[in-house]
Amino acid sequence: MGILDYANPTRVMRFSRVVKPWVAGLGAVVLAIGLYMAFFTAPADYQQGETIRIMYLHVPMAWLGMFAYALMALSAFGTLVFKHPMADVSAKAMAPIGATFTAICLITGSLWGKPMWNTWWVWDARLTSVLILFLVYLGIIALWQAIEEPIKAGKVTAIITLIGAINLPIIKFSVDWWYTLHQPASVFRLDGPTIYPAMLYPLLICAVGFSLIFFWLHLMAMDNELKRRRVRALQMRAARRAAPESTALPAGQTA
Amino acid sequence: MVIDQHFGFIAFSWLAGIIGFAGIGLWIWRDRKALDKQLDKLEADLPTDASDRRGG
Repeated sequence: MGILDYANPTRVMRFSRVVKPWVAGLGAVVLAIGLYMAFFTAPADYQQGETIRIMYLHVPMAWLGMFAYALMALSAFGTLVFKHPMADVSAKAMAPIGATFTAICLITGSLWGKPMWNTWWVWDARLTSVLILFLVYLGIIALWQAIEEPIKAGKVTAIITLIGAINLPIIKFSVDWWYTLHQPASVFRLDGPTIYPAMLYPLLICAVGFSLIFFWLHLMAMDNELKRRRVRALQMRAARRAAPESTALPAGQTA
Repeated sequence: MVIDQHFGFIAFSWLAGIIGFAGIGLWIWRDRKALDKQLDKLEADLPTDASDRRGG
């Protein structure tokens, strides 16, 4: 039995029922610690002052917005190559959550940019590529809504998702490839983080807390998607039962 | 944390985060409630094995 065989709807729902409260509880505790450190123990930045507090929300949202898309791309691969039924359930459940996180990243980035760069928005490579990520999310959500048949919708959105994944390395390396107003990477670097440890640890703890909340939301959304498919199956079954009665010819009339 | 001239930007950023999380959480919760209601109704209408001779 391959590992993919374990990912069937019944097992996923059973796993989800057990794991959800733990993930939510742990996420709340870790996030509370992270937020306490972000607001009360982390120092102000010597150049940016107190506005550095926005980083503890903005950066995890940016990471998770991209991470969610990477998971969607992996699911899309699972849909197209393995035709696994849980892959498109996972991808469909992920899209609105990833879009929300990316939107929070864009809004907080704009609110951070105004006092630091003296502008709400600039069409530089990093900001524009993240905006494109958000628009791709919206397009994928719209596509899921537009195609009624789940298997067909899964295949079409999987193709679009994989094409959209080209944007992920562009976002990551945009600050290295082009001259941008956005600062270069300061945490995930080959030569190690350049950020001061008193700021780095609260940032990493906040990121872990937000990640756990993200997984909790994803498990909840996956449960919903499985229920939606069960509703659809029952509705079709009810329609099949009702169909012969409604289409039956009047008595005495032959076809 | 010291409240300085940029406090409004910090406050609105975190407010945006709270609204975003509350929004997606509420959306998922409402979806779940609606689906549970639909499922309860459909499962209640399911025929028993004896009455559903067509197999379904």
